[in-house]
Amino acid sequence: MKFAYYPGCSAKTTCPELDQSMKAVAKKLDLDLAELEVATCTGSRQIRDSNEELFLTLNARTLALAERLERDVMTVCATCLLNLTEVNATLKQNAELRRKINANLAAVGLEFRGTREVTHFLWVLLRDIGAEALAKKVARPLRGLRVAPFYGCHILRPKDVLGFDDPDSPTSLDTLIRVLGADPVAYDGKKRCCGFHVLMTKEDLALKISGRRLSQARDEAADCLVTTCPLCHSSLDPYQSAVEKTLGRKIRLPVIHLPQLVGLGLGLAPRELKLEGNAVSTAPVLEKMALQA
Amino acid sequence: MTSGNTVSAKIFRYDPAADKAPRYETLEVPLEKEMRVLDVLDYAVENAGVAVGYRWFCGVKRCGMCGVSVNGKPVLACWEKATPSMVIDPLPNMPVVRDLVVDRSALEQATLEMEPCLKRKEPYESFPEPLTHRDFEDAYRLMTCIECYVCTAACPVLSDANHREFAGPASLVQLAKVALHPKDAGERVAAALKGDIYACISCYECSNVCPVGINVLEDAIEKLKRRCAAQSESNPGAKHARIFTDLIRKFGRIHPPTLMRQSKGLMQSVSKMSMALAMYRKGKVQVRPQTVQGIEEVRKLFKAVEKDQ
Ligand code: SF4
Ligand code: SF4
Ligand code: FES
Repeated sequence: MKFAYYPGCSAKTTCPELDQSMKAVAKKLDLDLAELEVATCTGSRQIRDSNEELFLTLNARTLALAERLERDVMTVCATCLLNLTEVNATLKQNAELRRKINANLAAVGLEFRGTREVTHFLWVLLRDIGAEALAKKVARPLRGLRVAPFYGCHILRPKDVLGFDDPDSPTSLDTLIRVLGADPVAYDGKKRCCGFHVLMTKEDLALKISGRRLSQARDEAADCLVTTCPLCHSSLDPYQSAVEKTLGRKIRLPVIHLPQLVGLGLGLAPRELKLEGNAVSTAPVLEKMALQA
Repeated sequence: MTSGNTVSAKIFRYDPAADKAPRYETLEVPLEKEMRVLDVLDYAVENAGVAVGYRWFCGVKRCGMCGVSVNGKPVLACWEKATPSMVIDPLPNMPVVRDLVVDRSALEQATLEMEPCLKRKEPYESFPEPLTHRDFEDAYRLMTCIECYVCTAACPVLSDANHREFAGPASLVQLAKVALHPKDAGERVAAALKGDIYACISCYECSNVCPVGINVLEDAIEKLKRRCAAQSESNPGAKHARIFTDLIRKFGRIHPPTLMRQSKGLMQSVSKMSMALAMYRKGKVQVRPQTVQGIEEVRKLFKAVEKDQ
């Protein structure tokens, strides 16, 4: 299976453990990833919130780069997934807009043709590889590990754009946790927002939102929480100490990126997955699995 | 006891004037074909002697009066299919008058304060006004809003963070409806900022629940934010969006330490020092920004876009 790999800014800056674990897991799963090294940021919410044409143009460039490689785009970031998926759909549907954006792309000798799709690593695992085939590759079932799924808004909503899972009762990440041999923790917060997009501008508000999710997962006796998006990860992991201050409560919940969890199930060593790179210590998870860090 | 032929409905009951605390009343209702949540409530009152209070008027997704929460999701009682097992609560984010009846007046006040009526640039000439579909497209999309406040009930900024400065999505839809009207000349950016539009965390919960299918975040809030970003000098949310964009122009990708310093200011960033240090030790902080390969291409694209604007 071949993909144009779009890691996104976070995997290249604040979450190097995400990029590293994704690459290690790809090898194990025979995913052939061609990294889009020259691609830009998809703009998070900020560029689309301020300049629509720029938002369309930058992402059309990334999509055109993947088209040139004749590969679909696979990302490990939910917000990037939504941005790229929406731009892809908009420009495929709207010929007039496509002409306008292509006139911009002409300045760098590229053209958006609308021949490729955008997907997320979670979807590749369940749709392209498939639960059954994946189960066969699980070398170290994560038995007894209670994992709180954290889907992330932009992999679920808006449904008519993304369409993979049901935003009201999502199951994909729960299924994946089961395939790896672990137990998914049930809690309402799994389909809710992490608050990331106001973390820089209204930190108190963001911490109240992420605090709700973390305390719920804690209350349900989760051993760790798994994220499909490095932005959720930032709100829940490095900012967890700040959340604890807001809540006046110790949480200490390890927050693990999706490829890190998959890698554990596939039998990779914690170091290969850079599990020492997460902010909240992942040692309790490794201890439960009787693994050396 | 959810045999599939019956509905087990657990209904919220509370009369603040008489009851010490809310309670739930559970009843079994025979499940009819095409039964709606509203029919279950009607059955409770008419056939089961349960005097639950609820509000409705049109029964056909027009009046916007019948919002309730079913199994945690805000919906219209007259438009939501009954399922074998339901917990029916009043809409969150508004005080309860009795049972499922809520008091929307604070939210309606927030809408009124946005002055959501057309303020024309030039006087109304005559009918028909020369407007094309294209001119009218953005505003038209919001005209189907029935002001049911179901979106506002779903908003976590209000429910999870209790951030009451935020006007909420329903009020912002009303504001956007006039702001996007081609003949409008009102002070809409000021109104949006007064409603604390940048408290919106872009979670799409509002879009997910809107019974008439408005993508509230993209078709209303995001369009208002674009205006704020272009017109507000000082609002931190608007500034943040501009700083972010400039970083992409420079490096092609985000450099979190620079973003934080420029957006929060030096003093506030210093307060994050211990966290930054912990992140640095984990290899999560690159002191110098990395530039994506082919940044010249990116800058050319910025130029091409800005030429049009
Ligand atoms: S997208 Fe914004 S307005 Fe809509 S529910 Fe989320 S925070 Fe509230
Ligand atoms: S936008 Fe939709 S959910 Fe919100 S008030 Fe209007 S009709 Fe109701
Ligand atoms: S009763 Fe009028 S919208 Fe439901």
